[in-house]
Parts: sequence; structure tokens; C-alpha cells
Amino acid sequence: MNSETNAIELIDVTAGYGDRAAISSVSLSLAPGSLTAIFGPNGGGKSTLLKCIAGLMQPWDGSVQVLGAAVGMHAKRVAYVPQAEQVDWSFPVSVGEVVMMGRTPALGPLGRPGAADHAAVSDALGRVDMIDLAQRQIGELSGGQRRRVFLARAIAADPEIYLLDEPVTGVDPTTQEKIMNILDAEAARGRTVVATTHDLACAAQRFHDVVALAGRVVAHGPAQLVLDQAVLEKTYGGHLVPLAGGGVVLLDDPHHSHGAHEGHE
Amino acid sequence: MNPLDLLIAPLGYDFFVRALIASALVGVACAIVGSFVVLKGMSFIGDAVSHAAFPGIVIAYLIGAPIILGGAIAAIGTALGIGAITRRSGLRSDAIIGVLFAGMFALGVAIFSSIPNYVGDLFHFLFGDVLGISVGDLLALTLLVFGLLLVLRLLWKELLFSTFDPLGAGAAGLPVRRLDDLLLILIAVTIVISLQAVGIVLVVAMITTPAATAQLLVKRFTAMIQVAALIGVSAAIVGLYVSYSLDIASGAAIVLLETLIFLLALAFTLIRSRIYAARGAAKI
Amino acid sequence: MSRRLVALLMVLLAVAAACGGSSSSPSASASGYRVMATTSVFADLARLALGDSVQIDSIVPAGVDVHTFEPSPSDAAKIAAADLILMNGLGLDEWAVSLIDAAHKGEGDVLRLGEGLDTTDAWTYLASPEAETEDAYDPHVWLDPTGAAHYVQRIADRVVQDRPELTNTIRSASAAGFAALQDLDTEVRALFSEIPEANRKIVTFHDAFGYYARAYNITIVGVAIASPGQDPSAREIAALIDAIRASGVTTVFSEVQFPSKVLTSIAAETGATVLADLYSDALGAAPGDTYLGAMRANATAIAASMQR
Repeated sequence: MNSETNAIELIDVTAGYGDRAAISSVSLSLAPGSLTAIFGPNGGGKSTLLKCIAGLMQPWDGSVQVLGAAVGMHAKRVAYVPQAEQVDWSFPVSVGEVVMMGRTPALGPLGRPGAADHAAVSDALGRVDMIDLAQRQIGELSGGQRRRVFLARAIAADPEIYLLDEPVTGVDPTTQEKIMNILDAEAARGRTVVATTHDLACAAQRFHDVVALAGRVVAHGPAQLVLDQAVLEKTYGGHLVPLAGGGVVLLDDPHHSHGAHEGHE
Repeated sequence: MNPLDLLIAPLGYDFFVRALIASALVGVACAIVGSFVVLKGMSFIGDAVSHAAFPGIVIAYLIGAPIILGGAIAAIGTALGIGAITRRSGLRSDAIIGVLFAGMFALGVAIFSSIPNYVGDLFHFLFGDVLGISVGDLLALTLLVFGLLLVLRLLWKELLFSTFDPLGAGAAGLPVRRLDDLLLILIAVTIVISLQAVGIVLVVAMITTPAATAQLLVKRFTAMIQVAALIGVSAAIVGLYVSYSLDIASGAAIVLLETLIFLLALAFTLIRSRIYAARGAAKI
Repeated sequence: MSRRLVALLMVLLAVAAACGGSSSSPSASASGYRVMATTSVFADLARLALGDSVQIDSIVPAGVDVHTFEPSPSDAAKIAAADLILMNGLGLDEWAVSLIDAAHKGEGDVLRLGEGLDTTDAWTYLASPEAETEDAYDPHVWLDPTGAAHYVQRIADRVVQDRPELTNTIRSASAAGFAALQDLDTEVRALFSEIPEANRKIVTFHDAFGYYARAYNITIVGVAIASPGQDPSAREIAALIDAIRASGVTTVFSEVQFPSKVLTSIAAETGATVLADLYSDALGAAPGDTYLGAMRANATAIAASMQR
């Protein structure tokens, strides 16, 4: 068991919804300090993979090890940032209250927030530039601000592993810059960062490694892989449209799904 | 008769004071639990559980067991059953809830109709019997309400996180499914202890209306719970006085008041947003 | 599980009904004449009138309230098989009318015991506290033994008319019945005359005892419910509490067929005791399983309460 080498270890994992497998025989090792983007077509299993690592889904086959133990054992050291569509933005909570939720694992069952927790929340809000908006109800935030709140919640938890589902999809370049800077810094501190994304340019430019996922792992390696045509062809298949002067265009609408959902629940 | 007399006179009767305390306690408990119910969109489940308690009550009544116990078993069983079925089917299944709701209630009616007895008891189950509350009943109610509030206070942040973001909470290690089940049990218990005060038919209103009103008015969950509780208590107390003056059923008076407050709040928010819109347009 | 409970309950009720007092002795079925009364009280008065000569049954089971009784289809069958149907009328048991129609019986098969007693100046009605029918008379005539005697007379006269061959048996039975009722009246009167009038006050559950109170000079301080099937409102409860406190009554009477939490709480608040053994619209277990036994039990209980 390479417990000290790998933060996340998947061995031959198959998982899905109903009777359809979203991912099959996926084996993957991610080391501490890695900054990995998972990309691929809709229905390719990106969210499913992330949920398996987070312990939100039970694999049908194979094993998932996180921080050297069965998934879920170290849940307090894992922070999960859901897709924006899956949050109830009308819920009556403020920015500050959402970030404080990140302290729940640290507080334990009967704990009440103390000075250290409030400090952690302020720090986190400071890092995402949202201190001034701490009292705002989350429904009143812009898209980019909403993304940053949930990132702050993850930061406040001070986790060893960050799992982010589409953290930069549909946000403005400034916000994207800020978010990636933070993820960069976390990885540099030895944290393991895994994000799913549709943004191949961002994946290529800002991440260290990438995983190409189309139900199975097509490739896993340095970020430039995302620009490799062979990899793209194998991953996206019919989504690639050749251009007249050579080269290809990738058509992959993030909200268009081929065949089955990626489990937007 | 000066207004102060109207307030003080009924307090000279023990039965009225007990009814007042019981209604107030029920108003608070329902409003607080109702805040979770409304945010999770579970009002229909609340109605289903209250009707599902009926066969449990009738059977307990038949065999001479404590009615609250019978009602609680039926209510909690149905609540957890709905939870389990909802999870298995993956959807919030209105149809399944509706089926359980009607089936359980019909079972209660069928059994009840086979008892040849004073029909007033059916009315009590359906609409409450707060004027007949005994000291023992009131003590039990007080203990249960305080127990309920204690549990909510202790598990406050877990319930909040799990209600708001079940995925994030689950990933952070919270036992989301068990918290969901706990919430269903708390809802069922609240309903059962409220039945004596307001009855099966109206308890869903006690749960839903104050919380829905609060949701219109405030933007923080803590504030929402406080406002809902305040509405619950006030409507209960005023409602009981109104029922005394006008000779109408107390449960109905309370619910009518809560509904009136809701409509006023609705009107207020609509007018407020019109004003904001007009101001915004004026600036342009 | 619920079905078994229902079945068990049905069996228990059947047993209770059988014990409740349907007298089908061999000689009765021989005459072939069947009388069906709405309640156990009227069935027992019929027994006082007719003795063993005919078969007598009642519909409302023991311990059930006649005002709010809901008949079932099998009750129509019982009516269909009867030669004479005894009901009180005056709004007490109007549910019997639909049963009578369903059984294809007519008015000629029915004896409305309580109605029309005032035509011969033999009886004065009291007003009903809760006017439900146009009659607006208090229907509880039989609780005054004199009223019960009228019922016995009517029943005897009617069956003699239908079955002249039974005249002798019936006349001797009803003569004994009248004597028994007279004894009862004398006894109760004597019992109450020993109690100073100022103490002759009671609180009952529903307004059944108007004629009784008139006969024996008793004041009914208040009743718990104005009409059976409806709960008292908060103000009604308050008024009753005030009345009890003002009158110094120390006992409130529940009745055999009415369970009530309200009465218990009223009693607790006024310091009165709740006694649940007055027979009004229905008979119960021994000694209250006959009219005479029930009336004696009532008198004893009421007199005792007045002396506290």
C-alpha cells in the first residue's frame, strides 16, 4: 500500500447510475502536491469520478483509497466544492455562514465556533477577496462571487485534498485567474488538488497534470497532453470537427449531454 | 367590559391557562421544525405524516395504550418509509407520498368506523382537544418540546450544512442520510405532540405557514427560525383568545391568524419590491 | 393486525349484545312476534310491558350514545325481521327512520313512544335545550318513571291489539310492571325528600334529566355539553365552572356512554368529583342492565352526591 506516496488511489473502479456505468475500470494515482484537471466529454464520468473520491458514490467494483485509507475514513481532510448548478442559491444564508460550514469537520459534533474558527473564516474570505461581502445573502452574488464563496469554504476547512467540480466553468477571466492562483498556492503547499473542467485552455495553461476521461482513462500525464491531437481524438471522438486549413475544432457544449447525465444530483 | 378584562378574565380558569401554554408550545415547536420543512420543500410530507398518525392513534385508543405512542409509531414509521422510498426511487415522489398518506388515513378511518362509540373522539383527533388538556398532558408536552429544541440546538450546524448542501456535507464526513432521517423523526414527533392541540387536519398549517411567512421577510436562517417561532407563539395565544371570544374552534382560529399574517407579509413584500423597482427606474 | 382487532371487537360486541339482554326464551319464539327497540332502555321497558311472551331486541349496543349512533346495514336487517319497532321520537333516534325505510316498513309498524303524550293532558313536555327538530321538546321522557309508565302502557296496548291471543299474559305482565314502576317512584321520592331542597343540585353530562329533575324537585346547575356530538366551547366551559362554583355542587356526573376529558378537567378545576355512573339514554352492565336497576342506581348515586 503506497500510503505515503499517493494521496488518492483508484484501482479498477467502475461506477454509475441505475444500470449504466459512467466510469469503467478506472485506475488512477494522484500524489500530494499535484494539481490535476480531469477533462472529457459530457457523460464521460468526470463528476462521477470526483464523487467516488469524495465518498458520495459507492463504486460497483474496484477500490478507492484516500490518504492511505478507505474512502470516507479521512473525510474531514477532504473538501468538496460542488457544481454551481447544484446549490440552492435562495437558501437564507450569508457568505460568512457558508464559509463557516467548512469548519464543521474541525468543530466536531458538539463544537461551537470559537476564535480560531472565526479567524479561519476571515482568512479564507480574505484570500478570495470577499471579506466585504461576508454579510451578503448568497443569492445576491454574481456567478464569479458564488464560485469564490465555495472555494473559501473549502479553504476554511484546511483540507489536504481539494475536489472541485467545474470550478472555473462559466466564470469571467478575472475570477478564473484568482481561483487558479489559489489552487496553485495550495498545491505548492503540498495539498492535492483535483478539478473537473471543460476549459481545455485553462487546463493546459494552469494545471500541472491532466486526466483525459471518456468512461475510461484515455491518458494521464503532464498538462500539454490536453493539446495532443491523438489524445483529443480518442477522448472526444465525434466532437472534433476538422477545419479546412488543418487542425480541429472541439465542439463540446458543457450543458449538452450525449446519451446520459453525468449525474447532476 | 374594558379590554384588560377581556385578557384577564379567561386566565381565571385553569383549563384556559393550560390550553394557552399548550398552544404556545406547539406553536413554537411547529414553527421551528417547519423552517426546515419549508426550506427542504417537505410540506407535503408533513401533511402525509400527520394523516398517517391516525391509524396509530386509533389502534392505541382501541387497546388502551397511550395515544401519543401509537401515533408516534405510525408517524415515525411512515416518515422513515417515505425517506427510504424517496432515496430508492431517486426522485421526490409525490405519488408515493400521496399513496401512503391516503392509505394510512383510510386505514385509520376504517378501524375507527368499526368502533361503535362517541363520535366526539374522532373530532378530537382531527381537530384537536386543547380545552381538555390535563396537567399530565401539559407536562409531557413541555418535556417533549424542550427535548426537541435541545436536539435541534445541539445538532444545529450539522442540520444546517446537510440541509443546504448535502453533497458538500457528505463529502466532509457528515452522516447526511442519518441526519435526513433524524429530521424526519423530529418532524414526526412534533406532529404527534401537536395533535392534541390542533389535530391532524390543521397541524401541517402550523408547521408550514409561520416558516413560509418568515421566509418572505428575512434572509438568514437563524432570523427565519426566530421570526417563525414568534409568529407561531403569537398566533397561538391570540388565536386562543379569539376562539374564546367568538366561540369558534381554537385550532382553526390559530391557523386562520397565521394565514392572515402570511397574507399581510406577502402584501408587504410585494409592495416593497414595487417601491424598489420604482426607485430603480427613477434613477435611470 | 387491524383486521384481527376489528374481528375481536365484533365478537366482543356480539357477546355484550347477547348479554345486554335480548330475551329469546323458547316460549318467546313460539309466539313468533318480534319487537325491535332502538335502545336497550326501551327494550327493557318493553319487557316490563310484555314479560316473556314475545322476543325483544334492541339496536344500539350497550355503552353507545343514541344521539350520535350511526346504524349499519345489518341493523336494517334486524328491523326488517321485526313486527313492531319501538323508537322514542322527538329527535332522539331519527336515524331509525332511514332504517325503517330501508327495511320497507311503514309508519304503521312503528311506535313512537315519546310523541303525542300531551294530547290527553296526561303529560306536559319540557322545551328542548337544543332545538334540532320542529318539536323542540326534550325527548328524555322515560327518565321520569311516570313517563316510563306511559311507554309501558302504549307498548302493552299495541301488542294486545296486534296479538289478542296474548292479552292475558301481557296484561298480567304489565300490571306487575306498573307496580314496579310505582314502587320505584315512591322509593326515589322518599330518598330525595330526606335531602334539603337547597342541596338538591346536580351537574350532568348532557341535558337528559329535565323530567327527572322536575319529578323530584332537583336543580340542574349545568350540563357539560349542550348537544351530544359537539364539544363545549371555551366560554361554555368557563360558564359551567362558574355555575358549579356558585352552586357548591361537589359531584359532576358523566354518563355511561360518554368518555370525556373536558369533564375531568372541569371537575379538577372546581374540586368536584367525577362520577361516571348515571344511566340516561342507555343501559349498561348490572345493576344498570334493567330500567329499574338503572334508575335505582342513579337515585342512589345522585342522593349520595348531594349529601357530600
